[in-house]
Amino acid sequence: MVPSLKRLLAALRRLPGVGAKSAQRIGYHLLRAEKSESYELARSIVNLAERVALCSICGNIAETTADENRRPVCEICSDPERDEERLLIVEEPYNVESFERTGVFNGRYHVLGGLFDPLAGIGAEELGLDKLRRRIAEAAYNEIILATSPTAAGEATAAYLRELLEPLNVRLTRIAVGLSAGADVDYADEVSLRLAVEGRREMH
Amino acid sequence: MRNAVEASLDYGKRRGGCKASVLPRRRWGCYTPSMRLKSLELDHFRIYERLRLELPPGEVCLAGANAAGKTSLLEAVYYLATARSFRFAEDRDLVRWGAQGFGLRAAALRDDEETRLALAYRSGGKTAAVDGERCPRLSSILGRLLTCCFTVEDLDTVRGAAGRRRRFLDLVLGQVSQSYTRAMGELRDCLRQRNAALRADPLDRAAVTAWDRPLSRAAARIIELRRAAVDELAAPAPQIFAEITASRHDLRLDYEGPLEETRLGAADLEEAFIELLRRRFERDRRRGCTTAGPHRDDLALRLDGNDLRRYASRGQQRLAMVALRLAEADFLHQRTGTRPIFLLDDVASELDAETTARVLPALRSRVDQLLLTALPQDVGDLSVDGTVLSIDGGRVRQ
Ligand SMILES: Nc1ncnc2c1ncn2[C@@H]1O[C@H](COP(=O)(O)OP(=O)(O)O)[C@@H](O)[C@H]1O
Ligand SMILES: [Mg+2]
Ligand SMILES: [Zn+2]
Repeated sequence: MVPSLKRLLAALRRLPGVGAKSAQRIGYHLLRAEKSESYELARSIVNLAERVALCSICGNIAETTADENRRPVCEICSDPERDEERLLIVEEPYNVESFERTGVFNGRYHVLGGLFDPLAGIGAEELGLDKLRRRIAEAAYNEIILATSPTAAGEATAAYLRELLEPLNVRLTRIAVGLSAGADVDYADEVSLRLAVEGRREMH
Repeated sequence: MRNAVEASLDYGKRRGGCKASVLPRRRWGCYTPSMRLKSLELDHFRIYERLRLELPPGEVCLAGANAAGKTSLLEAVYYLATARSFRFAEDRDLVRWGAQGFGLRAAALRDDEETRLALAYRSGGKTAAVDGERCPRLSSILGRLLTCCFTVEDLDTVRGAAGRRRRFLDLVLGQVSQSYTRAMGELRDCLRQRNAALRADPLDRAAVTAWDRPLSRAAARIIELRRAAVDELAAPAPQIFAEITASRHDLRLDYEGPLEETRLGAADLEEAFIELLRRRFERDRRRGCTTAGPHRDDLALRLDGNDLRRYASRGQQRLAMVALRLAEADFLHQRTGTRPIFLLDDVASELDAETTARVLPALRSRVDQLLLTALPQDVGDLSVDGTVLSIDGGRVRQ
């Protein structure tokens, strides 16, 4: 195999869900396709890396501007129409998208960027929980909704947040386990996700 | 409520004896389907380089000298049912010396319905397939091939450390309850994480107790399922013991854990368990691990009030274990509506002739397919009701 192709296949195989077979298929497809297709793919990948960053307020993904001095802010955080009373806490940016699709929630989000994982050394500090606490302390939310998955790690993270946020005297709720226990928020379909938000319960 | 829902997820529905009219019936009364192994293939498993074996219907006795590969063959069947060895061995010990991994395949019949099972082990891990389709997780293969065994190592199940008896419960329940397997997976995850948090420096107490809720939920579920299993195993045990010893004794089984005195139901158990974790926090912190839970519990075996785990002759321990294994066959049958395959290893050297003569009929009345092993000179004593195959150096002569 020629070195250039080898290099591409190696890079493709590092992507999630891409095995040797699919890498090969993509590689040979690009060899046959118009050059413009390759350029567009390469440019969009580079663009993604350069232009997209995490929102400095909520941790969601945000498109950056040319102005380097401006800290990145996502679409939701910069939308003045959104309800300032409620904050929904999720694991990953793609969870924001899932909740947005359901249309049941019009408040603000906070993206943890993961869950508790002491074995991997991920705890309160890595998840930026102190920053989250400050964000909540400084705002005037009426309700904080914890929407981590009903998995062990999701429950543990929610339990920690409850302890952390309790002194702030703000109403804490947890999405209903309408999702079958052990299911992931990312795999839940729109309907069950909507039911989970609507059926949320007070956390004690 | 959650109970009923979860129970319905379990592998076999409890089919209420004669009431289940959809089941075919034998002319002379209730009919229950049985499990039967039709063919077995081994690659690089223990002494076997390659084995392709068709099993005739009925009882099969494998006869061979010591080290011929008899136990290993039964071990392969059991491994296909549970994804674990009955010899308390690590997976890599099962790989034939010099090979990279092993493969096991079987065709099993539940009545006329055939299932093809495959399990492969490489250093990277285990993969399973059912009817040619790769299982997304290994646990999908559990319960497809119902088996029950009595082996030389069962003596350790009675007298060994508590881990042996927990393993016994895990293997029995793993075959009948998907929610048990799931809860065990959750328990393992939670324990590893909680223990890592306990050892973190500096210690963040809330990062430890954060795991208490999911841990307790899994623990409560496991304890509940184990208790129910122990009660079901205990019920017929004295009568079975009498059947195989021709004497009356009181054989008792009890689940042992720090919350057993309370006899709380599953919902309250979860709260009680959280409380227990809270009380033991200091101890856990000092030891750097979670010191109470289903991973520390035990199964108490008592004969006429004496603790069999400590105060009993080997003979009594062995007999109690045979009784327990027969009760297990009943349990698997009750829970799944299917009679399991029974693997009986080297019974002639384990039990005296009289006991063997009582155990075999008790077994034959419970299962359809009995696979047993014996030294060539002992085969005569077993009055095999089926086929005798001779086995030598990892080869079977058909
Ligand atoms: N991983 C392995 N690779 C090769 N041979 C093995 C392995 N494990 C055990 N053996 C050998 O297999 C032989 C058969 O063992 P076993 O099945 O216990 O025989 P049996 O029950 O007939 O006495 C023994 O000689 C043992 O040393
Ligand atoms: Mg043997
Ligand atoms: Zn934002």
